[in-house]
Amino acid sequence: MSAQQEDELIARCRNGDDRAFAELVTGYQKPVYNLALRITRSGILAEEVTQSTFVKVYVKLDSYKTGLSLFSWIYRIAMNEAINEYRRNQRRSRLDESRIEAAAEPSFELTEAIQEALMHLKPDDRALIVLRHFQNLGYQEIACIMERSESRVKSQLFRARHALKLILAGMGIKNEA
Amino acid sequence: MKPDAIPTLMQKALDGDLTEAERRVWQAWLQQHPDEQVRFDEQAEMTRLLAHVPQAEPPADLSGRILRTISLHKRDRHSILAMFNRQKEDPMSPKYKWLLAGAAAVVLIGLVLARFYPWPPESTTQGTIGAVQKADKFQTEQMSTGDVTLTDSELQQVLQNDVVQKIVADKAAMAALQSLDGKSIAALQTLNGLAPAALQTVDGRTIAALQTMDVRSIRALQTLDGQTIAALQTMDGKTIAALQALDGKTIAALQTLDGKSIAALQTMDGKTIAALNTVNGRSIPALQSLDSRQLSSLQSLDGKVLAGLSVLDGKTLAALQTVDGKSIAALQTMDGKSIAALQTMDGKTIAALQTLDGKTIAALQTLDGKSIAALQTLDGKSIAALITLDGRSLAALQTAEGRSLAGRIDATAGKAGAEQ
Repeated sequence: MSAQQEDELIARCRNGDDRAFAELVTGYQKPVYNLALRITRSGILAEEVTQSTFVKVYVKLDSYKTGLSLFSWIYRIAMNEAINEYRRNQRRSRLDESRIEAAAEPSFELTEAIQEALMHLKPDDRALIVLRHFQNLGYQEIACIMERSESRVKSQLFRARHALKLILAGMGIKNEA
Repeated sequence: MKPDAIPTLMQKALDGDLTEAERRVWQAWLQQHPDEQVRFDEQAEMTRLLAHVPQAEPPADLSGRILRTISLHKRDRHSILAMFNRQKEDPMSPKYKWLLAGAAAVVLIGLVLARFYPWPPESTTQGTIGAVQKADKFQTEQMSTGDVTLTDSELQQVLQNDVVQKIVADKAAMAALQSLDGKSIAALQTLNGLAPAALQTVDGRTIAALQTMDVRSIRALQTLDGQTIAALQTMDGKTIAALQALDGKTIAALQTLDGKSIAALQTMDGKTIAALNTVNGRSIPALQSLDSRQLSSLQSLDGKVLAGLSVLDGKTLAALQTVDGKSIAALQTMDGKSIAALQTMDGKTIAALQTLDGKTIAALQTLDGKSIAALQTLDGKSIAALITLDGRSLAALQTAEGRSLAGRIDATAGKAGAEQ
């Protein structure tokens, strides 16, 4: 979606156009859901995060400024929601087996191992990995979403991948793909 | 090559963004620095591994749920934000302590009485299906007809209680309750943002909606002149159930959204159409009986779904059980009277609904420690109780003969007793 299209969509949403907001939800729910799923590792929590993200987007539409891309703005909200939800949930209870099984994820061994390893990273590092490798966002956009410099994003990403490698090695996983 | 150029080149190499010239420089440098080669290989391996993780598809109804939630609050966009912000409030403010004392008394009376009148009444439930029997032990105990009779003096005593006076004097509490000429509108919202509930009784008709905003459960119940529409949706993506009984005709649908089972049952004038579809690709059976007499059972051999349906003389007993530990549902309609029970065995939700001659008993319990709700309307009188067991909220609403009493409290469960 071009910047102009985004601006038009936002303008329609602000004018109370239900169809415009439906377009926005339809267009962005999948990346938001995936971001939340990877950070929380729970289909249930990912749905909650997706829902609360769009509720916040709706509520805060008036405060959105066009300097930041709509996509980045939504992602920033989603990332914060996901990390907060993950931490809240951790406080409530440790992730139990049923919840892990409930994650809407194909039972693919390597994928599961990667997801398991990701959960051992700090939420912030996990979000970084997700944004870069699962969502394929550019460094500049990630820097914008995470509100830090591009160089810091790169160095943090480097460390996060290294940590992931050690975790996977500890799990006995090597890349055979 | 300058040292500060190395990270940039490595990043570019990992991303596949090196120009030919840069690639040559990078390869040459790696050959001279075996340690860096190891680091680079490690990073490249991780990049390749991470590329294997597929995108997940969100549930098909997710956008619909989001838009419904938005539309619920559309009239006041900022009320949603306020709701989020209120989660940060001190749950034990003095205002709520006062409310706790009043509300806890009403709820405790109701819950104690409910223990002596288990639901459903054995005389009206025919547990012919294994799933029903299995569900019995999970059914929520319920109040009976006799329990809702309050004499005027009793009600006056409660209303004149100091605690009630505090509630009445409290603007926040009164804003949540409004009674006009024997009609009552009440709204309850637990300030931790977890469970808003609304109950409206108007001339013996009842509309109740309960939504636990932890995105686990939305439930709506509407009885109008002996007709009942009930819908239960657990928004954890597991279960959507709807029951509608209109003039002795019943439409029920149960859908577990974990991709395992979709079931629909519709009885109209003693004729039954039932369809069960397990979406895991193993079994798609359908059952239709039009002679009013039918007994059948279904088991899908993948061990996922057991379903039984029995219709006899226009009366219907149906049970659906998904054996993957997710859902048990039972529906029984007898001469325009309906009993329905739904239990999702993922530890999240137990719901029971019983309508008998235009009177309604409903109970919903989410077992994740979040909320227990019970609603009983009998002859235009209503008792509703909502307790969220996360230690934050306790609420009760009782309307009797056009009089209303409502209380709400947010507090930790441990301190509730002390405040009383």
